[in-house]
Amino acid sequence: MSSIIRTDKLTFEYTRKDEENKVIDTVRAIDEVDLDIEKGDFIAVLGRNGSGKSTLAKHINALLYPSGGTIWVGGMDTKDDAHLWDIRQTAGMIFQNPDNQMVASVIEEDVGFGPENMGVPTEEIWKRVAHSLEAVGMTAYAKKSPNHLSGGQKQRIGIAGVLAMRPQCIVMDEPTAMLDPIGRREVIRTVHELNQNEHITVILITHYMEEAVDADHVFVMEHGKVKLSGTPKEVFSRVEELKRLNMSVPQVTELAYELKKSGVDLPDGILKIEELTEALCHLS
Amino acid sequence: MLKDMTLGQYYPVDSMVHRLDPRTKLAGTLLYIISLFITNNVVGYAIAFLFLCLCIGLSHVPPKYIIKGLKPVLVLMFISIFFNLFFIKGEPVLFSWKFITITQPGLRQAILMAVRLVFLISGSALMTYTTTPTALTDGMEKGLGFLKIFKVPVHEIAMMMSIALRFIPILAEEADKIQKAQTARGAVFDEGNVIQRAKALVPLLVPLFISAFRRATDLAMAMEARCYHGGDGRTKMHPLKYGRNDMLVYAAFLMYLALVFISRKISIGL
Amino acid sequence: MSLELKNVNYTYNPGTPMQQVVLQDINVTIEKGEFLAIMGHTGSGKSTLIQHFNALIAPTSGQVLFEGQDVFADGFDKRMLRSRVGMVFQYPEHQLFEETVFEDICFGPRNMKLSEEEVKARAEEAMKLAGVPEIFRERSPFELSGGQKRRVAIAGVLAMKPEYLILDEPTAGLDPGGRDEILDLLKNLHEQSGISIILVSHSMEDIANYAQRILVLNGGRIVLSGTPREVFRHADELSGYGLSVPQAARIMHALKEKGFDVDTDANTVAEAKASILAALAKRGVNVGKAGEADA
Repeated sequence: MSSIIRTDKLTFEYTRKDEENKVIDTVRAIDEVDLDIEKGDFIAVLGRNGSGKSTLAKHINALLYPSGGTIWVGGMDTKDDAHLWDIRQTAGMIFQNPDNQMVASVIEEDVGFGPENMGVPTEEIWKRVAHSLEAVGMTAYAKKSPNHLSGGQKQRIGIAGVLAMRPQCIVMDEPTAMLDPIGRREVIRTVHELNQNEHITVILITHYMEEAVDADHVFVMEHGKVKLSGTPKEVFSRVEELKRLNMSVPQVTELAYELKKSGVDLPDGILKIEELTEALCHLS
Repeated sequence: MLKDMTLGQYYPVDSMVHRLDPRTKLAGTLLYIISLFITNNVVGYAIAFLFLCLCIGLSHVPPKYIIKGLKPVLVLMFISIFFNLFFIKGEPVLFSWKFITITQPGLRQAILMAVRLVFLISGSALMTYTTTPTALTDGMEKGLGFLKIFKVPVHEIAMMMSIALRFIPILAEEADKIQKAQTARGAVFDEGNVIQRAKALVPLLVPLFISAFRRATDLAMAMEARCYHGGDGRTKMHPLKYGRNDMLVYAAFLMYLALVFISRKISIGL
Repeated sequence: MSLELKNVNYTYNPGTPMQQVVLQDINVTIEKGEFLAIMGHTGSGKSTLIQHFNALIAPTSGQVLFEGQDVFADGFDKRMLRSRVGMVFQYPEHQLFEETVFEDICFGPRNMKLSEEEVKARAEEAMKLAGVPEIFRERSPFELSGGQKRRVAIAGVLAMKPEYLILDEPTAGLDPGGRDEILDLLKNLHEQSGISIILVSHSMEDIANYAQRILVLNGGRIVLSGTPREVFRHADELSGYGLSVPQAARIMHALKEKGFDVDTDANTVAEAKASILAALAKRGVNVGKAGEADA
């Protein structure tokens, strides 16, 4: 397996200035982060607001450049301007507010926006648009206006728009934060399908832990550093630590943890209801 | 209010007019407007009317939609009729009572101006009914492409137009929500004199502007992430290409213009 | 003392081809001092419903009654109503506009035409109630974090001294820490200041933890109503409305199916834990240090 995104002591600092343009302080949004993400993986990045996860996402898309260290996307150093468009094509990006990432008033035209910018020939654009809309299950809406869609549907259009650029990797910056539970499920199911069917690497940034349960690997960030890292099972067995980092633990995980504290002999890192009932049955 | 605007509304049917290149429709509309200012008599207007009816017929847009599009300009029309009717002096006087005088040239001018306005709005409405906003901006971008040599940012203007069209309904809805949020805090927007009313708008406009700027920042970043870098090297989903019908329509317009010119020489005494 | 919707129907764009029935035959009475949650998926009519409570939307037919008086009757003082029935919209960005946090909180009481001293005193008190830190007083509300903006927005409504506080998705977009802070704030307002809370939320877990009564809306009708225990019993029905029950309740149902004698009405982690421990004890499972931990 080869890596798609790799960072070496990635650091990002910005300065805050007062009204007279004097520097008040310097904030380290990312603090010497080393990552190595393999092609085809489903990665979840957790952390509370301001933990540096969005800043990290913007580095992957070369929307921000490191102030220290290096990040390689598909083997390309993002500081190398010559590869800017290749990098953005390799790693597509989905943002929090689905309304603010749509350009066109007709859905299929919005999906075609990326390929148009890349200079893809017209016929090929149409093929890609059709395929992308099908992959996210929105073919029926191709000629419609985005204004009447639900949040989840809008976000799926956003994903189709990135997909039409044929990326190897999709970075999603809290794509479900503004959605209702149905929309959230829709979007998460869609990205899992893309990960499995199209072998696209997914980097999902979220603060909903239940969305990270099926990931291959989980990172938990705080103050610009990766505080916890591992499989969901490994990470979610550390309930106290997660709560201290302000993460919401799924009720089943918390319940298992509580029962264990009261002396019930349960395994670590229970993430699903069946795992808990299974383990409890085993006891008696 | 924004919902009632007919201008810029698309009537989705398939017709020969819908399928025309947007540049043809833009140029056609422009030529039609010019023709209305060339005409100076009833014959000319009759030709203009017949030509408009022909276009509407070919477009499959129900005439009642065209008439609906006239509503917003009714006021303008009445003002125009009023001024022409009462303030144009001349001979012979048709009607006179106290300070009100209506002359024949006044009446004639009033009718012609009103008709001209009706035709002008109907013609433009027909264009927007048959052309999607995107096609319209595409048409302008390509049709006005020659302006690039004068350093006019044609592509950027066209992109701005299409983004504005996309965000008008979103911002209108947002304005409604903000108004409700402030009303819930006891704000009143429809009381007091002009200055008080203008002041009352501050709690509405500040959040609206901040939101618009935030959306603009987000959108700019999302566009960059999708490799947007201006018009250079961009391909199009809908590349514009003139077809046989476009040529036919251009020919028809030239003949129509010729007819209008000829009509100027005809005098039937009105 | 109550807030009541009586036979309320609401139709959007009535008499046009765009006509759309949003609310049908709504009857709700909210008593003073209640903590009510309203749930329903997007488009179920819940936002329209709550806007009736402070006369932002007039029903197509039916009545909105505040302390028995029709709020749409001639001469009814809607401004008074809006100060007593406060409403916080989903995004604080929709209401914050002043240069400083403190001035923004003053906006509501100032609209009530109170004396300047009274306005300031109320803003002062509201800041404390909503837990807005003193250091934010002179800051611009736009520089604050999402959670802090929400506190300021809530303070701006509390400054009008409402008896009822309606909140539309007050935790949307916040991280879990921020969410708990806002929900705890509402709990305190309810318990310590006696303000009735009407909370619209998607999060079943939050509702189970905080609300005394739940209304479920689907297709513009009230389809379920009762205590969290009563409402969450209808797991299948709720899933038909695009809603779910708290995960704790689903765990209890799964255990019941496996033959455990557990309380299927348990909706919170604490309740579930107690019930499972009891069921295990009945089965004679040795739960080690159970009882000595935190019984």
